[in-house]
Amino acid sequence: MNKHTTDRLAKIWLWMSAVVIILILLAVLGYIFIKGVGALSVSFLLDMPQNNWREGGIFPAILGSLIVVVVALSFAAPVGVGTAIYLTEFRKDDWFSRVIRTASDALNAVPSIVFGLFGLALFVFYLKDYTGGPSLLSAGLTLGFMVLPTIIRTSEVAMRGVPYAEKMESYGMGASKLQTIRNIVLPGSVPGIATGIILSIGRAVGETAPIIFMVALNPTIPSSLFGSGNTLTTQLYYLAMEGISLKVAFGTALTLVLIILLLNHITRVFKKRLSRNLRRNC
Amino acid sequence: MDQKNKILVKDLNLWYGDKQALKDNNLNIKENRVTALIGPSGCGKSTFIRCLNRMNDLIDGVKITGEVLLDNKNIYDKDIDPVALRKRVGMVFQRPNPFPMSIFDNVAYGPRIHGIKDKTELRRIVEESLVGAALWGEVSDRLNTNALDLSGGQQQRLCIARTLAVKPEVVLFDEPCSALDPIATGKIEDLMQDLKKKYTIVIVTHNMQQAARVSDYTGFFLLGRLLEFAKTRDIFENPKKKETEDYITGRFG
Repeated sequence: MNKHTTDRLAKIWLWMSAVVIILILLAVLGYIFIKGVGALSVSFLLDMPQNNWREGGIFPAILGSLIVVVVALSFAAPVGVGTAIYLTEFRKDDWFSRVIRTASDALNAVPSIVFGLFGLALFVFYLKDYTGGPSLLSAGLTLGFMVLPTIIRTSEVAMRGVPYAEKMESYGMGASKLQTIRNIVLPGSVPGIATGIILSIGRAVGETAPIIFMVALNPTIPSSLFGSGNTLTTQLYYLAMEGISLKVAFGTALTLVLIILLLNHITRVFKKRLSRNLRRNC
Repeated sequence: MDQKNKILVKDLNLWYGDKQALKDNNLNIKENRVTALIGPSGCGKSTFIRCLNRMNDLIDGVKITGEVLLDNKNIYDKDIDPVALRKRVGMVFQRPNPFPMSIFDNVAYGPRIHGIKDKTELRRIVEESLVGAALWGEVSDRLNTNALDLSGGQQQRLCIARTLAVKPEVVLFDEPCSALDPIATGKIEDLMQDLKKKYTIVIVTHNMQQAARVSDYTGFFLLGRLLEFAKTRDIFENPKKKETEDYITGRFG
């Protein structure tokens, strides 16, 4: 084969690889859309399930997903942002900061079902008296553990993007460390932190495995954080596995996909804003 | 007439790790005078100026020995808070770095972190500082616009205003004009003559003409040592050391 031919073959192969991605995405989304769109309606989102999910809506699952995400972020956002501040502003690049980063990366690599098992052992059994056992609180905290590395990493990157010179100017005017963090570092890294938080919301909404042991099917409005409930993902799992209603399962799947697409879109908007902010350094 | 000493530097040494950057430096800085520090790149003049408000504390691995007396009190004493010190000894950096906020908020930054909340008081300080930095006339009608929209020269004067707003006693200028065009440079040099009536000024520059134009005293640094220090006119017209003469006549640098 001459150079020209190999060149063209390579190009065709690369083009086809790229097209496959689009096809897979279209196939998945298209399938979910076609199967789920019949179920989707305003009342599907806002009504209670009837007749063992065969009729009515999925409101408890939407509410449950919202609750576990709020719990997860109430834990992960302050701890994650705090860790990032500590790493960027209080710690040189020494052994301890490397330990923290390695721990965070390792945590990110833990399979989600292992988080689930750990959450089961810690929150459901060991801390049962405080979490109510298999509750929305236990599920939310487990998800919080899982998204922590994402928040740490994105916040740290955002904070390192704040120009060193701006911090020096602030110190030069007699600002303390905390004042500099509050007035210069945090405002400068808000878009990045927000991006990390939205990514985490998307991940927490979409995960099933970590919370499969804590939230099952529950057709009622959750009574409290310590009570049981279900989320979009776990409901989807049980509706399909138990063969209760594939139609509602697909409706749930479509709702979930739409929420995550929306979150991805918001993330992109924030990223754009972030890069616009960074332009000021040039 | 001899002025009072504002800052007395005694046997100042500084190391970055094991590399010694400043060696046995002694220097008097007179109150309400402009003291210029000149010397080739890497001679330690910027490092030296950052010792005067302890900005070097923020850099890892810096070790300092000797004394820097501000009004006869060593700023390296244990009971000195570097944060409080930097309120008294302000600094204008090499490149203008306005914060990404409005002109007003930039100037109000210092007073706010030092606890001033009253709006009229802040407004007064902002105006006074911008007037002091010869910028008020150009920006008084757009204080709420983003400071990053100003030109480079205006940004540097904004940074001067921001430093003045904290009401320091000493203002350190670390090559303040190296990123500016000649017209903007001229404005800042004129400004220094006004500023020295109220403040003690130390300026690092590698522009010798600038040192000659603006300063009352000049120190020549070479390889971490203050080689020669005298009245500016003496240094330029009658340098004692051969290295100083070589440098100011442009034979090296």
